Amino acid sequence: MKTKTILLAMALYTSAAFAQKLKGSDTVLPLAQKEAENFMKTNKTAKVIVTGGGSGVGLAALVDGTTDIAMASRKIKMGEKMKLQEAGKSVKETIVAYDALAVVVNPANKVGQLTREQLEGIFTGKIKNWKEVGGDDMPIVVYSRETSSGTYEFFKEHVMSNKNYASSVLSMPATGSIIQSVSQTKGAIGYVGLAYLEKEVKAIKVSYDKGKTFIAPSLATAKDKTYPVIRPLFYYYLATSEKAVKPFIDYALSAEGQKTVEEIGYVPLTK
Amino acid sequence: MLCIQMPDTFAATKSYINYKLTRMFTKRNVFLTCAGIGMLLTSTKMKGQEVIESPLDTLTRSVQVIQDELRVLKRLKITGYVQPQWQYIDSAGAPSVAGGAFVSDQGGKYYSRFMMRRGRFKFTYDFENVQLVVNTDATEKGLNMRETYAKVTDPWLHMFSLTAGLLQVQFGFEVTQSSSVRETPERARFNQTLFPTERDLGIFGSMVVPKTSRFYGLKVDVAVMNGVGSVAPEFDSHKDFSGRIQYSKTIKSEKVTWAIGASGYHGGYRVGSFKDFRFKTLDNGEKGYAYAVDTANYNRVAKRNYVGADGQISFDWLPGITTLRADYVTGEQPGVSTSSTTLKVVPAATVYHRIFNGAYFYFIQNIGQTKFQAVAKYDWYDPNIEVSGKNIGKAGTNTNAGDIRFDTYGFGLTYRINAFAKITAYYDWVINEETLVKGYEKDIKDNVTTIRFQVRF
Repeated sequence: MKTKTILLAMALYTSAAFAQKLKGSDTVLPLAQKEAENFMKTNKTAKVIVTGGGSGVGLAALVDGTTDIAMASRKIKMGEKMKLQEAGKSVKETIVAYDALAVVVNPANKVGQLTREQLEGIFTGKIKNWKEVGGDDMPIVVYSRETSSGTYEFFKEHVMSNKNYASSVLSMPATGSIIQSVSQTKGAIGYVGLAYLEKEVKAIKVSYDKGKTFIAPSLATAKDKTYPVIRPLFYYYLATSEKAVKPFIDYALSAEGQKTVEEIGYVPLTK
Repeated sequence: MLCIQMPDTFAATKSYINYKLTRMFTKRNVFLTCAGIGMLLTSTKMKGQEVIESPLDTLTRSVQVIQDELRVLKRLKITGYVQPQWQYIDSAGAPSVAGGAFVSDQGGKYYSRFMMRRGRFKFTYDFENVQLVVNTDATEKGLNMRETYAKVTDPWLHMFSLTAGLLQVQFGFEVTQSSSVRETPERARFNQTLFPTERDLGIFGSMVVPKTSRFYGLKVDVAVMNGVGSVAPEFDSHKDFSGRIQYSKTIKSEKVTWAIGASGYHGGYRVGSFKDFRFKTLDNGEKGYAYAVDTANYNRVAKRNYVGADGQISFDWLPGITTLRADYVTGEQPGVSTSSTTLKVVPAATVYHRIFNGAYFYFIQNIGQTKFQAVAKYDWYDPNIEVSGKNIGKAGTNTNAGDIRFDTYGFGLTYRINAFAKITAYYDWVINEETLVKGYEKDIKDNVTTIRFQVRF
């Protein structure tokens, strides 16, 4: 009995020790989880463990050597590159999908479309009431992701023209929390990845041409690139571990992997 | 009769005993049975009260226990690095700032040495917004304290912090940079002269602007310190003030990052009953030192006033990440005849006031995506900018070795074995002014080769 227990423990330890680890972006998380699930079905001996935490967390784990692949919804930062270099590590980057970032409001909100400039005004705190953008007379409650999130960075750079968030913005630890908060607060607004869109919130149309055309976020508009708020999703890994992670990366880029991308609600890579 | 009666009596007695025993045993059996049933019922009842836990609940509970214990353990972090090295100098017994002067043995053949340059073991305990740090240095010279301090960060904005104890001096870039990440083996000569151990006792406040602010990248440090030039107790009650402001930014493409900083230091130490020399034009027309004030003024302070500016830029391009870094410092520094190094004890001889300047420039090139990094560095330290060359050591001027300028060119190559270990080969080409001071008539042979192995944990 004792021998069996030891053998079982050793087997569990061995499988955990040789499991491929993915850590990072919460946006990439649902995609990586599904890909890992499917990958393990076809590769019976493979073990893939996926955890979230944010793009910054994943890339820090790559520096520390506690993950094999860092999932990121933004490009690697200069500081992170320098830390990797200091650790004698060189990193490789692969785009695995694209994501459309949807701006969501409470379904009871009558506002259905906003220009980029209006979004910038709302998130920087210049616009404080929905009546200023054609809505009811109620204060705007702004939800954002935490600063370690790649989505936070992307939204700031591409929607807010790199201006700073208002100090009144409420930081949420995960995308799910934004969905929940927006669905429960009438005057709320937030942003989520396309894959997280649910009935409890309303995705608004966005204009990047000062109000001439408003486009709703969807797989179709993201695919034909008419929806303007699109970003690449990345897998980062060390050059030295390329051989070990390649089967999974290849799977993610394969037709089957890209089908999963679409199933999850992200935009597959065009060939 | 007795014998005849006995059986009857005996039989009766036996019968009575049997009766009693039977009753007793029956009672006992009933009692035991009741007790047994009671226990059984109790046991069944107890079992009935236990919740049958699912394997998932058991696992969750176990993980929770581990997480709680881990949370407590994670408060304490032990980090550090060790730097064993081999060095070779051009001549025996030459003074050096590359890890300290090379001792000359009787035969004058002391050209190389093995040494443990640094052996740092740092214990950090974090609990909510409080941090305690003890940093030690274990080398062949013994176990020495490097830092011992407590830091409190404001719990609301996480923007302001107050640190008290034995801590790092806040001046310039190189002084505050850890030796474990610096690209060269040692700090520039002027930094080693002005801040010999880079540590002092005191208190400093820090403001780090958070990411959500438009001023993100700005950091301000202000400190009040003893102003002792080493890890040593206060000797004169006079306090020094220092401050540093820096701003760093990375451009949108994440290909370029830059930072600029400005520092100030205002302090000094009491001179006591010793006379002090000031540099000026002497009666004979030469430039040299002359007594400045009356020795009766016991309370005067020899000033340590410095200002500095630093900057660096790193860019990621085809050959790899390149970094350029520079720092310039000027000011007034008191010292003794043969040295301008900040004192760690009360002055025991005439104090010399000098106007100095110094600077360093780094060029750091990471070679592509390889594990190699090349570095070139130039630094100078002129302890007395009012005198130079053959005017130093001239009779009647009171100038001496403490006034000599040094220029140092350094070249090095680092190989990073992995995230923890690296090997650096570095060459210091040191040039001093040719003066009239004995031993410094020509450039002394004090170039140093260093091979250093570093392991960081």
